[in-house]
Amino acid sequence: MFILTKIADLVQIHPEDFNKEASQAIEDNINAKYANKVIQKIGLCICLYDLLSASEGLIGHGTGLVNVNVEFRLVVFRPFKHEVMLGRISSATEEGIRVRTQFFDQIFIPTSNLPEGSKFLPSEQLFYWELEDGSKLYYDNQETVRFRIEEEVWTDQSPMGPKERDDAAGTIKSSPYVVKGSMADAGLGPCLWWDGEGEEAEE
Amino acid sequence: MKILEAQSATLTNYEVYTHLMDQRARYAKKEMQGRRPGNLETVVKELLEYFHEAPSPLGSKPFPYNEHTIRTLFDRLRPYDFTKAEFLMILNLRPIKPENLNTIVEEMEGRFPGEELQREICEIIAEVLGKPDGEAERHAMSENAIEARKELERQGENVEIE
Repeated sequence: MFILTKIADLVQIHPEDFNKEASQAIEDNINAKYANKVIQKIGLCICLYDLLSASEGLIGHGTGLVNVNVEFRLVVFRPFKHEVMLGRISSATEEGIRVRTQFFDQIFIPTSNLPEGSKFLPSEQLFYWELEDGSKLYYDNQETVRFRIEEEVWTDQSPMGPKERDDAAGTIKSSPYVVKGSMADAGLGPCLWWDGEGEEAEE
Repeated sequence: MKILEAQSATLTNYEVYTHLMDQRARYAKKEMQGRRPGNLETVVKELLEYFHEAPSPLGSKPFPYNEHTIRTLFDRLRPYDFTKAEFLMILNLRPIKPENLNTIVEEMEGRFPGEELQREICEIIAEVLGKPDGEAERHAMSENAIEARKELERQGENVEIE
């Protein structure tokens, strides 16, 4: 689920941070810039892992900022393809089920990736899975589920010029990083279905 | 910003968890001046909540990991030839039933035929990582779901009143 990414960057320490230890000032600076943000094709950054190297601090002309070139590693959330993860159902529409974790909510399970026999119940806005014997199992909201990562979708959100903005008017802005998953396999789906004790849960 | 290496290593949940806990301890201890960036606090808090929530092994008691766990489990599972990705998921998810192992391991029937062999693997995992308290875990999961649904309802009511 998590990887380390090595990055080189320029850190600018403001004079009001001079009372901090240099390493702490750099750490705070990096975290403020990266934590909880998505880098395209890298993933959701969590926090600094370690500082590999830092140059001497140089003060530029005109400002009191101390410039430091640093190399560091970041902890990044980037589940790999076919990784199995835990999450919770947040809502469902005809297109599929939305799943979230506490820190990342852009997970989507399209209807085609649900087990065979899954149907949408419009009145309740829920999916259910009809077994061969006719009994129904519901994908209730907020249920803890297990799912497998199938695909990731990146959307570049760089700012647009006025002209482009007019062209794009009406389209919904999508999140920078969306993960598509699947529950179409034995053992995937709500954990309560599979983790039952004893023999009756084992088919 | 320049990306030097997009993926220099993969981390297990346990490693991320210890890193976050160390970081917290460090921040608490030094009586450090100033606060940490808000976005960091947010993501760390949410991530720890995620790690603690049933059925994550990191939330179960007794705590199933220590610094030797990865080594021990790796040595004991060596004869079965799991891929690195599979091993990582075994560590993160602690599958102790063949059905759960099946989601992680590709072509399980082909590679590990027979229930006996699969149970044997699960036994090893359970020995190293411990067994979850199934009853308590399921209870916690349903409680969490009910709690969250109530919370949503409350929010809905508030909106109506306003």
